Amino acid sequence: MKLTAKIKNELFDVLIEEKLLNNYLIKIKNKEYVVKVLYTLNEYLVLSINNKINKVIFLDIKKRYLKILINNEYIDLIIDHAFYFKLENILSIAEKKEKNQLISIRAPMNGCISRILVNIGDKVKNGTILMYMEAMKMENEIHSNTEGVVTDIKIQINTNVTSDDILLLIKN
Amino acid sequence: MIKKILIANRGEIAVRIIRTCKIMNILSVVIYSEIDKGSLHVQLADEAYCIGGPHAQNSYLDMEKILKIAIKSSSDAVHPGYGFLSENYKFAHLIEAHGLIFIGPRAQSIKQMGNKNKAREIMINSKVPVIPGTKVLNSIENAIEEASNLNFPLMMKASAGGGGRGINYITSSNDIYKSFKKTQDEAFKAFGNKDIYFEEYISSSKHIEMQVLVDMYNNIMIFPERECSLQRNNQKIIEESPSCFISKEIRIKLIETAMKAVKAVSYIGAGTIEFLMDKKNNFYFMEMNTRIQVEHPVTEMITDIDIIELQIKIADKQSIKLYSNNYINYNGNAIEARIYAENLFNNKFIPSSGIINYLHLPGGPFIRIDSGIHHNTNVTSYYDGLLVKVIAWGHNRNIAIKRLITALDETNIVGCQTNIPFLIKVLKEQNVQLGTYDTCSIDKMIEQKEQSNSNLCMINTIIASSVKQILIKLQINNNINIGWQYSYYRKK
Repeated sequence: MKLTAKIKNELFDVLIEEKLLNNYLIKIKNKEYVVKVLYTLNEYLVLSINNKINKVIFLDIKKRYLKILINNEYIDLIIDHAFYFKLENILSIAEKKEKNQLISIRAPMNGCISRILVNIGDKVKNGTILMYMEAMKMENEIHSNTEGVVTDIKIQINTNVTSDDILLLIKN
Repeated sequence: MIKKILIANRGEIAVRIIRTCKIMNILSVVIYSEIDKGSLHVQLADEAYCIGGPHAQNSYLDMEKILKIAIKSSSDAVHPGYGFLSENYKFAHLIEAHGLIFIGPRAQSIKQMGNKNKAREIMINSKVPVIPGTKVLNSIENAIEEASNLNFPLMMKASAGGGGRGINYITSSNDIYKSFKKTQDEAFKAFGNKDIYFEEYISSSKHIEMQVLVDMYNNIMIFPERECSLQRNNQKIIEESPSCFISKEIRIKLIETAMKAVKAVSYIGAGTIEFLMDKKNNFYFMEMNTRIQVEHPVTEMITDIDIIELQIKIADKQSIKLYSNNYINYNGNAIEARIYAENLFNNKFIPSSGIINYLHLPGGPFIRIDSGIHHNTNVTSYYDGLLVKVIAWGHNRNIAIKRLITALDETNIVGCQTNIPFLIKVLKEQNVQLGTYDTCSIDKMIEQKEQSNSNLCMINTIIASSVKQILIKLQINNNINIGWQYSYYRKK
């Protein structure tokens, strides 16, 4: 099986051979790694890579990026040619920002919208505070990640939202 | 005689109080919201009552309902823990008006100290040094006039504030125009009181606090200081005791000042007096917390005194003379790290929620765990995100820090994201290792965006994600389990 992985704009070709059940030989940039799967439960995985133990937690596997916590280090990763994955949206969609596109701002967490600072038609910049969300006793700022015009606000004050709900749309 | 206590709280502090109740042969009653049905405090208590919906207003903050349960369960006393109703004098008053014991100070003291500006005045009158500042500001004109007597930058603070909320920073008189109304509105929205005042902002300061216990017979215990300078957004994340920064002479001064403060309000119960200390070792009264603190375990670890136990004894009108001789002996150093459900991505901290589907808490010598979670706990956005406190003890500071890092590294919480990697990074910082950190250290750390992702880590990540893809493809995600002690959970 062949894959291409992308970390911080650097591409890596990965060649994976299954040797035994749960034993793999993985080649990256002409180097070989002997990999054994020791344990897995949901998003938690323990691997031995050349006999060194690696504890891995997959975070946000649903989203465009694959975000991984490996041995207490955060890494974000985009996988191309992920033909085994059902998750087309894991591909690097986020990289493409075309003109006149509707961009949705999503809730980064579960919580309650406490204040909305913009109206439909407002021009916003990258980083503008759009609204405040209350979660775990704290007020959190929701920022715009693009420049454009607010075209739709999907929620009202004091509504509870869950992570990834669309809060508003911005046309850039 | 207290024989049964209702604990009006949740999470790790409820569990903490239940433990002491059990040791003292006191029955524990807990309340829970619908969403907390399966939580740890409910499982450990002797009795548990569901009191309403997940919103705190409908459950943990509903005074009338809590009172009813306390009477229904024939509890003798109510322990409020921290947060929620712990510093609400109306609640203390309500409990006492119905013939029950409120485990905390008198309602009057809570009221006095709850208003930060009032507390300032009381301390000024008792000759306790306070941060240069003002009384309550009436108008923008008044604010500008008052500000001219102070040194910028300033903090515009809500009188009724707390927990780092309702504070705006003022760097010039222009900012006053911008912030005056805003701070008033925020204060009113958050605390129901729009009074605000100025305090000078002391940069690169240290946050030092003194734990006190006072009984009805005027026996006063003042514990060695705790240092809680490692904060993010005015929220403490790592605390230690004693502070390596404080000499014996300063400690004696701090104890004397704490004594003055306690006497100024004729305080009874457990409380904490918070001070800011500048570079020249001048310290100033900041506020007094009239409840048990999150970080009380570091004090317990070095003094061998169960603070909750004494809190209950004081409420039970017992004397703490046996324990007290004003100066308390301590042994070694203790340091605590707070594990929060937080998503720290791109140097942003976003609360995280989810169901914990894998949990491994650390052990080892001189490690204490105060946890409120267990396997399958639902971490929701309704409540504070504090999951676990890990406390390490050592005969010196370095070994305590090493033990803490080892324990944190071993901790494994899967299902919601945590700040563990960040805590480890902070503890490995040179400033922290040497004890030269201050209240700005963490913000500075966050600013310096680290690009530490080493090549090895990248390769490992690629391997891990590739393997994950294969596992998903083969749908054998949950079928591999070779020699692991937690296999029991999987069979469900």
